[in-house]
Amino acid sequence: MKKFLLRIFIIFLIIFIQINFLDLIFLKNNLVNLSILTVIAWIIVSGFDKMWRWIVLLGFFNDIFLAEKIGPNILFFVLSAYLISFVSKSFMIERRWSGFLLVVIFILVGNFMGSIFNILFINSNMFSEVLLYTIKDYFINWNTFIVANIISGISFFIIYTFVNKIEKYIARSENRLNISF
Amino acid sequence: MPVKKITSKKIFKVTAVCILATLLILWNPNNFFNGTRTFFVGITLPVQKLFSSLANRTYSFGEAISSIGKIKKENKNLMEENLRLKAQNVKVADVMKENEGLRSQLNISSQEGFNLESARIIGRDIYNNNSWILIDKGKRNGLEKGMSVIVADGILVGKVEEVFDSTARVIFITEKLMNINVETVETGAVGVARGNYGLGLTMDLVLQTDNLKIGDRVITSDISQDVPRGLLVGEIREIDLAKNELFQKAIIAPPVDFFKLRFVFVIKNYNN
Repeated sequence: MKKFLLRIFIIFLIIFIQINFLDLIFLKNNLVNLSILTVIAWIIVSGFDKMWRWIVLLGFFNDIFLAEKIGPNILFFVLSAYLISFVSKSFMIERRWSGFLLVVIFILVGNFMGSIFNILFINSNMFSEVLLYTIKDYFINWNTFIVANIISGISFFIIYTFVNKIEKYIARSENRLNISF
Repeated sequence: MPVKKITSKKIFKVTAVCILATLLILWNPNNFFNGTRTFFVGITLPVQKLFSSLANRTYSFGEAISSIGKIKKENKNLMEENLRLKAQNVKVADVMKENEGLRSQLNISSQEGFNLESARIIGRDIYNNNSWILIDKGKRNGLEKGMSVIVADGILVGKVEEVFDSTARVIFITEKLMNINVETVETGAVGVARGNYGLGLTMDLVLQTDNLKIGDRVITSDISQDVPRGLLVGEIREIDLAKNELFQKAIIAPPVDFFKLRFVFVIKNYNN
């Protein structure tokens, strides 16, 4: 029960910080997508097998609170989680520098793909126009691109530390329960 | 291979979830999930309001910090303006009378005829398009789908798209799905204002015989049944005078920066 409540708490906290705080401060640009950063942190800390159900739930609640179709975020987060898990295993994320580099790549690609994925489902009628606009926003407006990824990096560090602490706490609680049995 | 071994494989889980999510997207069961959505939005509303209030304070604080250098200059300007306003105050009564006359001549609505519900913006579209906002008023406050949303001085900014118990989603007029019947104040040219994928507004379907001028004010016309007449939509910034086309087009510059809105008014009913 404690495990369930803690992870639900993380999901709601991330969503509310995103839609009710960050998006009201960074008005003109979507500088950071906390949900995809949480997916990355969960996969690195606990692995795909342990977290996939929670990632589905994170996607579901993103869809619920964003008031769009139900499904796009579930699809995006689960696919991202699988790819992150696959790449992490193949390229030894445990090694300090390669791990760091991979995380940076995950953040960059995750942010960009998040925007592209949403165009597919939100602006699907005018896919090419909005896609061009988004690509322009990412690769031509370098200031926004750099600021967005710096903020994402800082946010990831905070989320990773937070998620890591909570997952360790959950693991300790589970071990204690096993011992007492 | 045993069934349990197959189902426990990572690729099986991913495929199953992807198929399910794709079916949900294609089926698009918005009504099916409306109850769930209303429930979660309702029970978390106080927390959402808390976060949005924190965001507003943080934003104001940031703006205050960044404008410290300007404050001294602004203070001087304000003092000068104050003196000028005192002098102008004497003429206000006359101006108000003239204003009433002009409003009736130009058919621009004043807010007096509207039953307005003020609302605070508590959420925003998280993607770059900035196509919608979430406001802190809903069914409980008498809001309904299709109601017009304005800011001060009768400037149209959007329409209520989806109503929950205590919140509502408002789509901006710059969104691609929006079509509003409009006319220009100065020349009376009629057309349709269309959203430009969150990037701006275009006035379309204007007859070649109608006269458009840069700087003309564009207001809502009385052809739209659900939008009150006379709400300001914007000013014409650019005209596309393609002679071989059946209709003229113009780009409308909205008078407000939609990104900076904090409060809006929903028109619950009105007398045209």
